[in-house]
Amino acid sequence: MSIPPLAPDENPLPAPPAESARTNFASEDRLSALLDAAVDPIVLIDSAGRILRFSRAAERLFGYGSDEVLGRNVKLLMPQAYAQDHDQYIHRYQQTGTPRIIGIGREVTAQRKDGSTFPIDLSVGEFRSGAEQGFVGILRDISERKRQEQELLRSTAELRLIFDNAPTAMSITDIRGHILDANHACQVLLGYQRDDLLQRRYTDLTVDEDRAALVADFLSLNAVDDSFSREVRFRTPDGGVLYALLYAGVVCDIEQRSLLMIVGLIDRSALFAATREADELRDRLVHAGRLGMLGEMVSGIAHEVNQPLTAIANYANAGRRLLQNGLTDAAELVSILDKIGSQADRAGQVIRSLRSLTRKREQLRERLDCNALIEDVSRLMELDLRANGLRLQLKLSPALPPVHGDAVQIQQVVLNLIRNAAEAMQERRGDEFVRVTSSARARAVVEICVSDSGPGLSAEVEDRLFEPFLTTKAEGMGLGLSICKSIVSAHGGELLYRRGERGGAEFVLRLPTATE
Amino acid sequence: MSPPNALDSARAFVVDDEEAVRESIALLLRSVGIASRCFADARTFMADYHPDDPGCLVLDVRMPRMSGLELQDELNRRGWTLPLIFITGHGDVSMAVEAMQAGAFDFLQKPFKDDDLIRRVQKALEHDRAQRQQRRGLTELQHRYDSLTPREREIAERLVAGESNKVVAIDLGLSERTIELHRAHVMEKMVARGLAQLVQMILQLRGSSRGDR
Repeated sequence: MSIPPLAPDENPLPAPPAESARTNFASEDRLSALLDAAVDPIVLIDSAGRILRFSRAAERLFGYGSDEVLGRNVKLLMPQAYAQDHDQYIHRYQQTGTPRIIGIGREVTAQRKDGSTFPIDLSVGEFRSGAEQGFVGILRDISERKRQEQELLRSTAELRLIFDNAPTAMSITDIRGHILDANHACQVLLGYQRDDLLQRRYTDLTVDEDRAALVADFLSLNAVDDSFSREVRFRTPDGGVLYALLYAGVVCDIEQRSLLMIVGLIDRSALFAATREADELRDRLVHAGRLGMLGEMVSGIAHEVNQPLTAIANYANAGRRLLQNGLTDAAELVSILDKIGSQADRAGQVIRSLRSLTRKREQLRERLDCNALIEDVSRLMELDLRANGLRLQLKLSPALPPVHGDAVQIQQVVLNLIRNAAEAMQERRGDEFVRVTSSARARAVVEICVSDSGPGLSAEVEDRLFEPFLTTKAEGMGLGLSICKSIVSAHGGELLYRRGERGGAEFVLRLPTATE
Repeated sequence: MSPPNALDSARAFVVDDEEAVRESIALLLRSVGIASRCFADARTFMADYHPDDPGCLVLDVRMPRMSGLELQDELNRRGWTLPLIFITGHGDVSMAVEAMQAGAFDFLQKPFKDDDLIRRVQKALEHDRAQRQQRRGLTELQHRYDSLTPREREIAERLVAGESNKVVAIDLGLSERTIELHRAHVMEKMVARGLAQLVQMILQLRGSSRGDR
């Protein structure tokens, strides 16, 4: 912008000397007094652009004395870039008579005597006084206003920047929920471009099941400070579902005229993932419970087996003593022997029912990834072991062919072996561990090894390891390993013991790989 | 092994909900001449038993309705001092400890060796017999003591306290001769052979009455 055509005229007079221009005014003194009293600087120019009057306020503003400017072209007061066009402006007005600034006013840039520039608000009027014709310019320094405007623009831009780049998904909607603006995070979260979101409603974006509730929520908002939040599932453009917490609050717009809503979204996917994980964990625990049942069953049947065993021992001993002391006869002995027999049957019954429990599932055969089974079991056992200061090391061969079998049963075996190993290390010497390895062996065999850094087994125990009712544990029944062995045999595999390289126990479980 | 004694009516009371177990225990005890009676549960036993019946109790800790421990509590509450042998199953050690603390005579873990059971039952029966004998002796003493006249009782107490005939005579304003007469009656009624035995008897009575309190 430049100082606009100040003084267009059809036939510009030769520039009158400043002195004569001044004397042409009838009430010279009164005009001077008026100009000098005006708060806003005032500049009068003739139709050729020459300065006729320069008010006190103008002197203060531009740093020129009147003497320095009178008679000179008003371009003096403009920066070079604008000054060069100024003559044209005047000329055009004189040609066309179409005002560009006169009676309108405009923001332009002015230049002080020291060369510095500043914004002014300029209003221009035209005057004719007899032969005198020219333009009057009233100026207002708007540096301060401009600065404030800049400041406002800057802070608005800053707010915009914050809004757009906030990590939280935020949006503004009208009171009926139409999206007026949505920040970048919001676009990313919902998966839409900004333009696709504008004028749509959140209620249009939800999954069908969640819509009604959200519509009701929005309808409930009608005054400033009303708010709500709700867990909502949104349908994303890629066909997925977004779990989010939507919160909305009513605010007044800047002009205090209409109500707007600030709507924020919080991504709940992580929470839902965690919930899902918790569900899975619960499933795993249920699974663990099923695996642990073997141990419980074993101690549960302890009582059942104990009763007939006690009775058998008593009957046998009583029979012997009665006989020795001559207190019985053949008939009574026979009845005692019958009772021993029936008690033995009862004990056998308990064992048979236990066996049938493990046999019942033999029909279940599927292709199994042993590594997955081991990882499953290790997840179950890990906390337990860690609580006892033991490490569980897994060294699983990545290229493991599948085996054919019952996942739960194989896991029961592995779990039992790990538990045995952990219990063998109750008396800790330092850095104790249980190690589980898997590897593919020749002749289509997968081998799972469970070894520990415990004391190993005595030769005596080693010989009878898989016999039922052999136990080294105070609370044990001695059935765990014999059941494990029968499970493995039923899978066509074998369960072996060997002394580990470092003296600990090492159990080797070999299973044939699955054939198509 | 103590020989069967026809005069001794002591028996082992076997309480176990498992028929084969209680029956076989009874048979085992019979083989060494110990009589027994079997009960399928604690309540039946309580309904049948009289505290004068000598013997011991062989008791399963874990039984339906009334457990062995509850039966023990009930016996303690009634002041019936029948020796208790608990039989515990797999993993009931904590219960056994509890039972011992509540005054059980002994406990056995199932399955047990026949010798262990027999030895414990015999010990328990002996314990019961000794206990009853002691109680019977005390009762007899108490009867004798009760037969003393008030005057005789006073003189007996003073003699036990170490006072001479002379001192007692002066204190009671009686003649020494009269005291000697009373003293002779006391010794006769209490069946004491000398002062030393009388002192022992009186102290025994005091001890038991203190225990009752």
